[in-house]
Amino acid sequence: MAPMEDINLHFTGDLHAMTAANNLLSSMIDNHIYFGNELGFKKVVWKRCMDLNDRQLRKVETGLSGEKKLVPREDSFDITVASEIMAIVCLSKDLKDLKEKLGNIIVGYNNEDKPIFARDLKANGAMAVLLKDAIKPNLVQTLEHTPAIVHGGPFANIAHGCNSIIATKMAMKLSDYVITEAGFGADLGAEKFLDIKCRKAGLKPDAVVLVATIKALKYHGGVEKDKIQEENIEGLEKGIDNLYRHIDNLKNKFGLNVIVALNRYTSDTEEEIQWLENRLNEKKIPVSLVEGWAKGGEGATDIANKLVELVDKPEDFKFMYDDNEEIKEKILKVANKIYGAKDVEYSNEAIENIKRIEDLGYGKLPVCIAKTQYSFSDDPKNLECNNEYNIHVRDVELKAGAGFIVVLAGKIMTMPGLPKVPAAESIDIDEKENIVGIF
Amino acid sequence: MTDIEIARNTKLEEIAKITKKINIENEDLELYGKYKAKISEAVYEKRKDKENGKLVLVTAISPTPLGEGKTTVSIAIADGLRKIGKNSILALREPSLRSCFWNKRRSNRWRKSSSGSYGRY
Repeated sequence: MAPMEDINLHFTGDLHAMTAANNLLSSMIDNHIYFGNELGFKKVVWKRCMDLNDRQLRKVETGLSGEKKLVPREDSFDITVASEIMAIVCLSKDLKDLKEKLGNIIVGYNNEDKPIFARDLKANGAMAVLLKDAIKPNLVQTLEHTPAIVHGGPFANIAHGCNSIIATKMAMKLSDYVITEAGFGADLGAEKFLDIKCRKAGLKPDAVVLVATIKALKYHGGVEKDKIQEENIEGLEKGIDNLYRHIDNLKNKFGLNVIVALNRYTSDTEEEIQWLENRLNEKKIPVSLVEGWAKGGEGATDIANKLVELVDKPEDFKFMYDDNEEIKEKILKVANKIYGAKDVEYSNEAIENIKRIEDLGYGKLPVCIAKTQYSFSDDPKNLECNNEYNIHVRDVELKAGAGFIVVLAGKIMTMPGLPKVPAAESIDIDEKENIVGIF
Repeated sequence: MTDIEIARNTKLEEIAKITKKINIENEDLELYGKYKAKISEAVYEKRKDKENGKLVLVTAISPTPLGEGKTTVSIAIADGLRKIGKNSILALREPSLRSCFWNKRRSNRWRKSSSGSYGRY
């Protein structure tokens, strides 16, 4: 993908615009409170954001200058991709819709526990101005000069994890074949792509490509990381269940056309590849070996040919739940059908918040479940998932602007930190503007 | 060669040339330098009644610390479709600035269909 440095650095400024829009809202909230708090804020739930990892900002105190009337309060920062603004940009149909969704953001609650909206602060017009270019899709190219629209990138756990609706819809008008992706594994990324994005956009995929690697399947089969490059059919056999379960979900639960893309690594042996292809052939599941890393598009002509046929096959697509079902019913359906869990357990806080959200009239929104991506269960170490398990819901949060309910099944970090030796230490630039250390 | 070396050694086409492949008029483009552009909403409006292209979703098995390469495969498929004479386009996520400064990228493993720091959040 190119120009590579640009895309990964400031690009066309979308993320900066989102940061500005997010923080404009924060400053208007505090300004409103400073000038007498006419709306009666008792609690502010809107957070500030920044597009860098900085654990110091997970919890901050603001308004400490001691000036008269300035009300100190606790606040916190999320990274911009975790901000509701990002989710809103990605789920908006056009500028008008964007403005409306921005207005619907709940920024806090008053003394009667009634929500206070961004529109009550008259903030949404100015926020939309800041975002007017950010909602336009960006066009770049692959290294083989294929057009690529790169637009929007929300978190895949506390948000829905796919590019913008505007970009996808535009791409579908511009080309005969649109290749898009969703974050993490199919239990999280594809489920949200289908149950949230497709539901809101009125779309459905004509085929799904399920990416697998020999190494990752062996890892799921319990093979140690330092032995992962050695041929190990037994390990592969133990780990293949993860692939089968994702195929079953996509094919039989969602009713979609599925092909497995076996992404080839140098360490894969012919025997391992043959073994895997044989297992999938026995089950009549289409599979193609993709050698994009070594050969580019030339290494993907087989899957391209297979896809051209697959997209014309009929599908029987269904969502995992209906809008009208109760929040708990929606969560249970995803947990049962997609995660393979027996039941869902809730904390008292989650139960209270579900009731509050339904009482406020938001019960019809889709659910966005934030769970570990490493396992079908909510335990990141439970790779094989052979035992019976429940999903544990810690809390539930309403995103009234984006239009979904975040269901927290595990601890999700929305402001990550840097590691002991961050990549930033080895990034540099010379006098000719050559950048080193980014990739 | 590493990802970035491959990217730097590839001569890019000017974005106005890329848009010819998908029939976008220059007036509907907002150029950000030679190789990036924003596409105006008019592009969609003008094609409102046109039949939609086929939508292919790329997803993966449960992630492992080894990486599965969804974006790499997505790029390869779009390029592969063009190789067999089909009119394809990618619709991907844009990366966060934070991704750059965070961790050592698994560079030089991916070559032709290089995705850079894409999608790693």
